[in-house]
Amino acid sequence: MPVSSQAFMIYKEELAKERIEKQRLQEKYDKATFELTEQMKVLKERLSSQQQMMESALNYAIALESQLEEFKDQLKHDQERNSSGFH
Amino acid sequence: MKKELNDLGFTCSYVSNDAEVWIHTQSKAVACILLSEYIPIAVFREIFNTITGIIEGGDFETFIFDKRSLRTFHQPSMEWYYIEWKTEVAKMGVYKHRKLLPDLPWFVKAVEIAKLPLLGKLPNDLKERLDITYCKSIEEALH
Repeated sequence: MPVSSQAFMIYKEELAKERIEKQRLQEKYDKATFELTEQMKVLKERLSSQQQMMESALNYAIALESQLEEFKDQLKHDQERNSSGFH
Repeated sequence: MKKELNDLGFTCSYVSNDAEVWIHTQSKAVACILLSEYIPIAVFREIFNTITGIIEGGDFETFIFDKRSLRTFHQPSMEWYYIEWKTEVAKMGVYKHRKLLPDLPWFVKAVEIAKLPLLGKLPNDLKERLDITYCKSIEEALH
Protein backbone atom coordinates (compact mmCIF):
# COMPACT_ATOMS: atom_id res chain seq x y z
CA MET A 1 0.00 0.00 0.00
CA PRO A 2 1.44 3.41 -0.92
CA VAL A 3 2.39 5.66 1.99
CA SER A 4 -0.25 8.26 1.08
CA SER A 5 -3.08 5.66 1.16
CA GLN A 6 -1.82 4.30 4.48
CA ALA A 7 -1.74 7.80 5.95
CA PHE A 8 -5.26 8.45 4.69
CA MET A 9 -6.51 5.23 6.32
CA ILE A 10 -4.91 6.23 9.64
CA TYR A 11 -6.42 9.70 9.33
CA LYS A 12 -9.88 8.22 8.61
CA GLU A 13 -9.62 5.92 11.62
CA GLU A 14 -8.57 8.79 13.88
CA LEU A 15 -11.40 10.93 12.57
CA ALA A 16 -13.94 8.18 13.33
CA LYS A 17 -12.51 7.85 16.86
CA GLU A 18 -12.76 11.61 17.35
CA ARG A 19 -16.36 11.61 16.18
CA ILE A 20 -17.25 8.89 18.69
CA GLU A 21 -15.46 10.80 21.45
CA LYS A 22 -17.22 14.02 20.47
CA GLN A 23 -20.60 12.26 20.61
CA ARG A 24 -19.73 10.75 24.01
CA LEU A 25 -18.80 14.15 25.40
CA GLN A 26 -21.92 15.73 23.93
CA GLU A 27 -24.13 13.08 25.59
CA LYS A 28 -22.27 13.52 28.90
CA TYR A 29 -22.75 17.29 28.68
CA ASP A 30 -26.45 16.97 27.80
CA LYS A 31 -27.00 14.61 30.74
CA ALA A 32 -25.19 16.93 33.16
CA THR A 33 -27.15 19.94 31.86
CA PHE A 34 -30.45 18.07 32.22
CA GLU A 35 -29.63 17.03 35.81
CA LEU A 36 -28.56 20.53 36.72
CA THR A 37 -31.74 22.01 35.23
CA GLU A 38 -33.85 19.53 37.21
CA GLN A 39 -31.99 20.41 40.43
CA MET A 40 -32.48 24.10 39.70
CA LYS A 41 -36.23 23.54 39.23
CA VAL A 42 -36.48 21.76 42.60
CA LEU A 43 -34.45 24.48 44.32
CA LYS A 44 -36.59 27.18 42.74
CA GLU A 45 -39.78 25.41 43.88
CA ARG A 46 -38.31 24.97 47.37
CA LEU A 47 -37.32 28.64 47.60
CA SER A 48 -40.78 29.70 46.49
CA SER A 49 -42.33 27.37 49.12
CA GLN A 50 -40.11 28.82 51.83
CA GLN A 51 -41.10 32.31 50.76
CA GLN A 52 -44.77 31.33 50.96
CA MET A 53 -44.26 29.81 54.42
CA MET A 54 -42.63 33.04 55.60
CA GLU A 55 -45.39 35.12 54.04
CA SER A 56 -48.12 33.07 55.76
CA ALA A 57 -46.29 33.27 59.10
CA LEU A 58 -45.83 37.03 58.84
CA ASN A 59 -49.45 37.61 57.76
CA TYR A 60 -50.51 35.54 60.75
CA ALA A 61 -48.29 37.62 63.06
CA ILE A 62 -49.64 40.87 61.55
CA ALA A 63 -53.23 39.68 62.12
CA LEU A 64 -52.38 38.78 65.73
CA GLU A 65 -50.74 42.17 66.24
CA SER A 66 -53.82 43.91 64.88
CA GLN A 67 -56.11 41.85 67.16
CA LEU A 68 -53.89 42.71 70.13
CA GLU A 69 -54.08 46.42 69.29
CA GLU A 70 -57.87 46.22 69.00
CA PHE A 71 -58.02 44.39 72.32
CA LYS A 72 -55.84 47.04 73.99
CA ASP A 73 -58.01 49.84 72.58
CA GLN A 74 -61.14 48.08 73.75
CA LEU A 75 -59.64 47.58 77.20
CA LYS A 76 -58.64 51.24 77.41
CA HIS A 77 -62.09 52.32 76.25
CA ASP A 78 -63.78 50.08 78.86
CA GLN A 79 -61.51 51.36 81.63
CA GLU A 80 -62.27 54.96 80.71
CA ARG A 81 -66.00 54.28 80.62
CA ASN A 82 -65.90 52.51 83.99
CA SER A 83 -63.85 55.22 85.66
CA SER A 84 -66.16 58.00 84.45
CA GLY A 85 -69.17 56.03 85.60
CA PHE A 86 -68.07 55.99 89.23
CA HIS A 87 -67.66 59.78 89.59
CA MET B 1 -36.24 3.22 61.09
CA LYS B 2 -36.38 0.09 58.92
CA LYS B 3 -35.75 -2.12 61.95
CA GLU B 4 -38.33 -0.23 64.00
CA LEU B 5 -40.97 -0.73 61.31
CA ASN B 6 -40.07 -4.39 60.82
CA ASP B 7 -40.24 -4.96 64.59
CA LEU B 8 -43.68 -3.36 64.68
CA GLY B 9 -44.87 -5.80 62.01
CA PHE B 10 -44.79 -3.53 58.96
CA THR B 11 -43.89 -4.76 55.47
CA CYS B 12 -42.21 -2.50 52.95
CA SER B 13 -44.33 -1.88 49.88
CA TYR B 14 -42.60 0.95 48.00
CA VAL B 15 -39.23 2.69 48.16
CA SER B 16 -37.91 5.79 46.39
CA ASN B 17 -35.28 8.44 47.13
CA ASP B 18 -37.88 10.61 48.86
CA ALA B 19 -40.23 8.19 50.59
CA GLU B 20 -40.98 4.69 51.75
CA VAL B 21 -44.42 3.14 52.05
CA TRP B 22 -45.01 0.39 54.59
CA ILE B 23 -48.14 -1.60 55.29
CA HIS B 24 -49.42 -3.21 58.46
CA THR B 25 -52.06 -5.72 57.40
CA GLN B 26 -53.16 -6.67 60.91
CA SER B 27 -53.84 -3.06 61.90
CA LYS B 28 -55.16 -2.17 58.43
CA ALA B 29 -52.65 0.67 58.25
CA VAL B 30 -50.52 2.21 55.52
CA ALA B 31 -47.53 4.32 56.55
CA CYS B 32 -45.75 6.83 54.35
CA ILE B 33 -42.33 7.78 55.68
CA LEU B 34 -40.85 10.82 53.99
CA LEU B 35 -37.06 10.80 53.71
CA SER B 36 -36.23 14.24 52.29
CA GLU B 37 -36.28 17.77 53.64
CA TYR B 38 -38.36 18.86 50.66
CA ILE B 39 -40.49 16.92 48.16
CA PRO B 40 -41.27 18.56 44.78
CA ILE B 41 -44.98 18.45 43.90
CA ALA B 42 -44.52 16.06 40.94
CA VAL B 43 -42.72 13.55 43.16
CA PHE B 44 -45.21 14.09 45.98
CA ARG B 45 -48.15 13.29 43.71
CA GLU B 46 -46.38 10.23 42.34
CA ILE B 47 -45.82 8.90 45.87
CA PHE B 48 -49.42 9.53 46.88
CA ASN B 49 -50.85 8.06 43.70
CA THR B 50 -48.83 4.93 44.47
CA ILE B 51 -50.33 4.89 47.97
CA THR B 52 -53.83 5.24 46.46
CA GLY B 53 -53.11 2.11 44.41
CA ILE B 54 -51.95 0.24 47.51
CA ILE B 55 -55.07 1.28 49.45
CA GLU B 56 -57.29 0.36 46.51
CA GLY B 57 -55.83 -3.11 46.36
CA GLY B 58 -56.15 -3.89 50.08
CA ASP B 59 -58.22 -3.43 53.20
CA PHE B 60 -57.07 -0.32 55.04
CA GLU B 61 -58.54 2.09 57.57
CA THR B 62 -55.57 4.11 58.82
CA PHE B 63 -53.00 6.27 57.09
CA ILE B 64 -49.83 7.17 58.98
CA PHE B 65 -47.96 10.11 57.52
CA ASP B 66 -44.45 10.59 58.90
CA LYS B 67 -43.27 14.05 57.87
CA ARG B 68 -40.44 14.27 60.40
CA SER B 69 -37.80 14.69 57.70
CA LEU B 70 -39.50 17.73 56.14
CA ARG B 71 -38.13 21.23 56.66
CA THR B 72 -40.14 23.00 53.96
CA PHE B 73 -43.60 22.15 52.75
CA HIS B 74 -45.17 23.16 49.47
CA GLN B 75 -48.58 24.75 50.03
CA PRO B 76 -50.18 23.50 46.74
CA SER B 77 -48.95 19.96 47.53
CA MET B 78 -50.41 20.21 51.00
CA GLU B 79 -53.70 21.49 49.62
CA TRP B 80 -53.89 18.66 47.07
CA TYR B 81 -53.10 16.07 49.74
CA TYR B 82 -55.45 17.58 52.29
CA ILE B 83 -58.50 18.05 50.08
CA GLU B 84 -58.30 15.82 47.03
CA TRP B 85 -56.27 12.87 48.26
CA LYS B 86 -58.00 12.56 51.64
CA THR B 87 -61.40 12.70 49.92
CA GLU B 88 -60.32 9.99 47.47
CA VAL B 89 -59.04 7.57 50.12
CA ALA B 90 -62.01 8.25 52.40
CA LYS B 91 -64.16 6.67 49.69
CA MET B 92 -62.00 3.55 50.14
CA GLY B 93 -62.55 3.52 53.91
CA VAL B 94 -59.49 5.42 55.14
CA TYR B 95 -60.75 7.95 57.68
CA LYS B 96 -58.09 7.62 60.37
CA HIS B 97 -55.06 9.81 59.77
CA ARG B 98 -52.08 9.75 62.09
CA LYS B 99 -49.44 12.40 61.50
CA LEU B 100 -45.90 12.83 62.71
CA LEU B 101 -44.33 16.27 62.43
CA PRO B 102 -40.70 17.30 63.00
CA ASP B 103 -39.94 18.27 66.57
CA LEU B 104 -39.64 21.94 65.55
CA PRO B 105 -42.16 24.40 67.01
CA TRP B 106 -41.81 26.84 64.08
CA PHE B 107 -42.61 24.06 61.60
CA VAL B 108 -45.61 22.86 63.61
CA LYS B 109 -46.92 26.45 63.77
CA ALA B 110 -46.33 26.92 60.01
CA VAL B 111 -48.37 23.78 59.28
CA GLU B 112 -51.13 25.01 61.60
CA ILE B 113 -51.27 28.39 59.83
CA ALA B 114 -51.23 26.82 56.36
CA LYS B 115 -54.04 24.44 57.34
CA LEU B 116 -56.45 27.19 58.44
CA PRO B 117 -57.70 28.17 54.95
CA LEU B 118 -57.97 24.50 53.95
CA LEU B 119 -60.40 23.55 56.69
CA GLY B 120 -63.22 25.50 55.04
CA LYS B 121 -62.64 23.74 51.73
CA LEU B 122 -63.16 20.24 53.10
CA PRO B 123 -66.77 18.94 52.73
CA ASN B 124 -68.59 19.05 56.10
CA ASP B 125 -69.62 15.38 56.11
CA LEU B 126 -66.02 14.34 55.50
CA LYS B 127 -64.69 16.77 58.11
CA GLU B 128 -67.01 15.18 60.69
CA ARG B 129 -65.93 11.64 59.84
CA LEU B 130 -62.19 12.25 59.63
CA ASP B 131 -60.20 11.23 62.68
CA ILE B 132 -56.91 13.14 62.61
CA THR B 133 -54.36 12.89 65.41
CA TYR B 134 -50.77 14.05 65.73
CA CYS B 135 -48.38 11.49 67.21
CA LYS B 136 -44.81 11.38 68.42
CA SER B 137 -43.86 7.92 67.11
CA ILE B 138 -44.96 5.29 64.60
CA GLU B 139 -45.76 2.96 67.49
CA GLU B 140 -48.08 5.56 69.00
CA ALA B 141 -49.65 6.14 65.59
CA LEU B 142 -50.31 2.45 65.15
CA HIS B 143 -52.19 2.04 68.43
